[in-house]
Amino acid sequence: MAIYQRLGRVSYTTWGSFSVLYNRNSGNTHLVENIPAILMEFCFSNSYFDEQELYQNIITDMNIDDQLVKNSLTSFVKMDLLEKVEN
Amino acid sequence: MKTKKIDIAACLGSYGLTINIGFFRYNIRSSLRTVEQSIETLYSDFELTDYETDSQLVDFHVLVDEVWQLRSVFNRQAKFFLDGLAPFNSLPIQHAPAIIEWGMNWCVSSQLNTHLIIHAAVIEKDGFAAVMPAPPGSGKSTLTASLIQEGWRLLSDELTLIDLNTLQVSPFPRPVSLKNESITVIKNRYPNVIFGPISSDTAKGNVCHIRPPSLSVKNQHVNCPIGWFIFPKYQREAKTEFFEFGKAQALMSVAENSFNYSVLGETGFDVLKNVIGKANCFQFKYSNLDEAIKVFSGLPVPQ
Repeated sequence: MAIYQRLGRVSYTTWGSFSVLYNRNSGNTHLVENIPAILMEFCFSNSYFDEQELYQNIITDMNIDDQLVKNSLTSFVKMDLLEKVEN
Repeated sequence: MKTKKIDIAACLGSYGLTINIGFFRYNIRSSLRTVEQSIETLYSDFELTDYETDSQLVDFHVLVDEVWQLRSVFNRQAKFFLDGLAPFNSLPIQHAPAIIEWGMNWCVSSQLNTHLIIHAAVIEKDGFAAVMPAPPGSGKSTLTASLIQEGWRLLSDELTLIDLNTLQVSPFPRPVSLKNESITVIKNRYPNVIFGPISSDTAKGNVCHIRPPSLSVKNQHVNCPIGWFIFPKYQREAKTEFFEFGKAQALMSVAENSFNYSVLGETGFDVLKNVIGKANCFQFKYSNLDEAIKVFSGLPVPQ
């Protein structure tokens, strides 16, 4: 389990299964599909978050597929929205 | 909205001719006869004044004139200037009517940041604007030229200006630019439409502008909320297809077609999020103008 750091403030909006994310620091805009809004809220509302906390609070309670979470985190890292800071 | 008859050629050749288009004020100078003809034909419904006797401030001081350089020996050249600076290379002098129109659009698209600017035609009916973002060659100008003859109000053929505070479209009803076959299509279909001089063999082919409808000019200060984002695509012999387009994808497409989305930063994103959230979004493929007009007349009423 890792600690993730948010690399910039992120705004997002969701319509149906698609969301658009805007990285306020880089100015980049991204289109993503099938990422639950609650997951984005958890990832982008604070400067840091603990992956373990994410699993405990979100995945178990909301019954979200953990593979989807892993893929989403990988995507956010690739988009320079998050950085893994500690293992 | 003409107030009094002025000598257009004399104004253009001296201190300049001022024109109010939307909320912009241009001062135009040129000694070229084709520019004079073009302005006389295309801007007759606008308020034209003599800059020398006009005390109001001007947003853009524009000049299009003949320039002398080595290639002028073989081919006379004209150049566009804004505030005395030439942002573009010279072009053959016969393109002067197109040069001034392109240049006047460029003034706004390169300098305005009080609005989100989208490369899109925009028209209005029943109090709502239909924004049509599309790359060149998508048939948006032909569609726009037709729809404004069918009761839609022209807000702009090229630049959709969304006010960052009100989220409404500010009209910029400039002459509609038609290219190549579109010129004939509109001439045959609407014989009363008034065309400016043709600029032949430009980089875009033959280019000609049509005069904006008088009512669009008269209402050029009446802003309008956005009801629809419609992404048109002309395809020869295509069957008319009109279907919903996801709002998230629409936001991405509009952002790609914007001139200053990245400059505006988070504000640009927030504006798009809000206007797209309230509008209906569609993709539209067409080849038949009659069917296209029918589709537009049956657009679902925005909430």
